[in-house]
Amino acid sequence: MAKPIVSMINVEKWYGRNHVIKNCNLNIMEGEFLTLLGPSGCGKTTTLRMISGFELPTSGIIRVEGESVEKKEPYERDVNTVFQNYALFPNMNVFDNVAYGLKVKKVPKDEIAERVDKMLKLVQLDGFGKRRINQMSGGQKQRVAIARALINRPKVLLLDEPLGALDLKLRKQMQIELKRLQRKLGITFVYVTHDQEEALTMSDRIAVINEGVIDQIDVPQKIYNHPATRFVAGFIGESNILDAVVLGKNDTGIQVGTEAGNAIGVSDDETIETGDAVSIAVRPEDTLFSKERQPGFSIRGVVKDHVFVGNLVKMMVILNDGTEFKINRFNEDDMIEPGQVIYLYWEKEKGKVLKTRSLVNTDSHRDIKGGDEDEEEGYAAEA
Amino acid sequence: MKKKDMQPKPKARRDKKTAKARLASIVMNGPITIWSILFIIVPVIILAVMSFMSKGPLGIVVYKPTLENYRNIFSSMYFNVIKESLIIAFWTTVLTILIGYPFAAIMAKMKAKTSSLFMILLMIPMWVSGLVIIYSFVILFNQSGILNTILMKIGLISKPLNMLYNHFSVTVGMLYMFMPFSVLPMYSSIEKLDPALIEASKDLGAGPVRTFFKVQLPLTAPGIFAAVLLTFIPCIGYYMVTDMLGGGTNMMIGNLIYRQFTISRNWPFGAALAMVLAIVILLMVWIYKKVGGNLDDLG
Repeated sequence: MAKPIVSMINVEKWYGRNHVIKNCNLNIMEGEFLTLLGPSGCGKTTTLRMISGFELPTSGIIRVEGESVEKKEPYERDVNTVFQNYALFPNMNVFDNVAYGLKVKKVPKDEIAERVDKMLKLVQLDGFGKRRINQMSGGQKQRVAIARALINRPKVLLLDEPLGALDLKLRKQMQIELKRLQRKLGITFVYVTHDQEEALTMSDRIAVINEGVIDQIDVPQKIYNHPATRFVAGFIGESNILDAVVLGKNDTGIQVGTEAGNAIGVSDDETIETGDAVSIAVRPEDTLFSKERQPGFSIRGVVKDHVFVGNLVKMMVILNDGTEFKINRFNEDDMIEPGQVIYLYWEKEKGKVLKTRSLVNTDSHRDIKGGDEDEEEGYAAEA
Repeated sequence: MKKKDMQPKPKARRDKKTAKARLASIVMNGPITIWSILFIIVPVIILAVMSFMSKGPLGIVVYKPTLENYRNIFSSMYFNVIKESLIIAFWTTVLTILIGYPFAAIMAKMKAKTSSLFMILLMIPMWVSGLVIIYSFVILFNQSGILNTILMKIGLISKPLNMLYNHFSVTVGMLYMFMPFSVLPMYSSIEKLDPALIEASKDLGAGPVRTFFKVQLPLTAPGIFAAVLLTFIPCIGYYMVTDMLGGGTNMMIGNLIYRQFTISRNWPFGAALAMVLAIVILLMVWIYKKVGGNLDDLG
């Protein structure tokens, strides 16, 4: 993969007593579409604003193309932002909004006209130059905001939940269009969202952020199929997550014991030892069941009910310890009537054994993240 | 058949509702309407009629139509007063805007707690009697007043400065009286400005100066214009400051009108002056609305 265009090294951010970004180390590669994904308040927007310069890190280094920028003003940085609510200047028309950055740079007038026209064509707003901002629809405003940022040929384009205000259909359409633009222009996109589906469809890589810590950074398939932490497993897609203790480890997998019974899983984490407190995560669609106990598994539950939701059937099982367990099937005939007792099992590769992260000990965060970064290269090569 | 039977019922109910709403609207709007007619519209009509009447002996209004009053206004002596008051009002307005805008901008950036404290400080001149404030300025600016004493003590000046009864004292007094009217509308428009717009400008490479003139100033212009109106208009008619800090050397239209009704006992002429002032003010409000101002912002 290409060289990093943005590097964040040991970046910390405190708001008074709130530690919002905890030792962030992040390399954004040239030309990639990176998504910062996490629930609201996790620090993803703060990370973005530190790259754009609207927030200064409490400590640490931020480099853009090798040059330290962490103390520079936003107008001195070669990055541009697409804001959440577009932030278009209502006192100017579409043309003047898009031309703003070029006028600041004192680009000759006819070149401005030419470049603005080209840019408006690129975002499919040909001929809208004279329109006032309040005459534009939400989707059109979004395009103007993207054009206004892209016309400056930034090294990195930062997008702060740019599609949040659009309706679902328009959002899907803009997702495809943004991806198209990014491929066409080859500009690095850093995209902030809390919508996991959006992240999975658009990104080259996703950084999942949880309480100011990057839990995992990887390609979408790896994030989905190999979550590194319990948080990632729970946040991306649906997962059944059970607290467990490692009972033993051998070539066939890791045997764990939960309150509801024993199970088998695998882990990417080699440091897991017998006796460790872990979580085991299984996707509802990966969960199998039968009337008889399967070797290595002893989780038993009672079927509560099942619901038909169109493309699949969801079944809810209550385990011995009272936990609710979700199972998805594509065929209604596979379902079992409520009240029946079943045994749950899965192919051992589908059960992800994850180390339970203690939230108090920051050192362990560093360990986990250090590991991630090493692996990252390997994943990138694989992908 | 059934449908036909059903239809009149909801209609009747709707009529009842409108009757109820109408009654409510009369009860709610009645008093304010009567009040406005009695104390605003009728007096203005009386004033307008009176401005075309002539003055009798001992200040009695003689009901004989004439244009004499309006002709008098444009005689050089009175016209000078109008010119003078417009100049003072102009400078007061310019200075209140220049001082008030940064003040409002700083206040808009403060935390809610601090900004409300400053708001109270700003409001104090509005709550204290103008007379008291103006007297304190007399004490401050006197030849042997506080300011002169301090300046002489620290040796900045050797002779007391003439600070009272001139343009300086009038402007300072006016400035003090009208600052709240100027800051409040500007504060509200600066506070409403989306900070993301300022960020967007900086993000696109514009420094603070360019951002101010290209984004902040145009977008807060309605607030500035409201501030201009709220300072300029009352300033022209305000006579207390000029009376006491101007020492009678500076006369404003307000003083002139006041004297016509009290000392000179020439009510028709006073009425004509008041009408001219009212027309000037209406003209300005009309311009304000034309350039896209919101009348609600004027309070």
